[in-house]
Amino acid sequence: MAGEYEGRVVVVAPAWKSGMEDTAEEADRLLRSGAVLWGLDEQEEIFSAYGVGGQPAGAIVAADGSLVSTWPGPRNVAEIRETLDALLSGSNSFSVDAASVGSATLSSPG
Amino acid sequence: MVALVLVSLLAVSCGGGSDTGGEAPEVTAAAGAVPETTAAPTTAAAPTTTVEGATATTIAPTTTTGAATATTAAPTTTEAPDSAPTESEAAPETEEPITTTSTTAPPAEPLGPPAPDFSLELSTGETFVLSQQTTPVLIFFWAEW
Repeated sequence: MAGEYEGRVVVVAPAWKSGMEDTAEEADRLLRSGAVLWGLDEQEEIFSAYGVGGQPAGAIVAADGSLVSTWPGPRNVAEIRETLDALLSGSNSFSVDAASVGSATLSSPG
Repeated sequence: MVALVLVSLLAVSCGGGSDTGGEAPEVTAAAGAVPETTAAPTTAAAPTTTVEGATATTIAPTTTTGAATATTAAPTTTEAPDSAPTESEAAPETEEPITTTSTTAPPAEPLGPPAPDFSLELSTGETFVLSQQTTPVLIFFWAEW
């Protein structure tokens, strides 16, 4: 999906602190796309700022810096695509479902 | 007899003529005075009229000068169009508010709460900064286990 939106949407994947080599292997296996930017969140700052207590989890940030969607656990690709398409078309018709940032609402059994 | 009558008639006509002959010069004199009297006003009136005409002619140029002055003033009024372009040059400046309006347009209502900014050192060695992005960003939190 990252390749589908390449150039229009930036996909970044902060990884929970772990060994870099192991993470790199897993990144090659899971992300399978050079369009996904990833790195280790060694200080857990990003996970903490977004209230992520477990993986996977996700968030969508609009071009104006607004947090428009967050979710714990896996999410249907169609739902993610719907939000991204709405943002790219400039439509404001979608509902913002961003959870309260900083809380543990993005925790998921991971 | 007829001859006598003719002679007497002739004699009478010559004699009467000499009697009224004194009045004739008076009439002639009167006729001569007429031209004198008329000549005076006529001659006087003529130059007067001529002077007046000259004066009028003199005034005419003055009026023409006035008209010329008015014509000179016309360019001055024509200078107004010169200032008009200046105003038209100022017109683009008045478009600035429009630009300002378009500048104030972008800060539209945000779609949601501000996303926490962060920077992430990528596997490629580059640094990703969320606030520097100009497109939507999909953040995927994950771990290798």
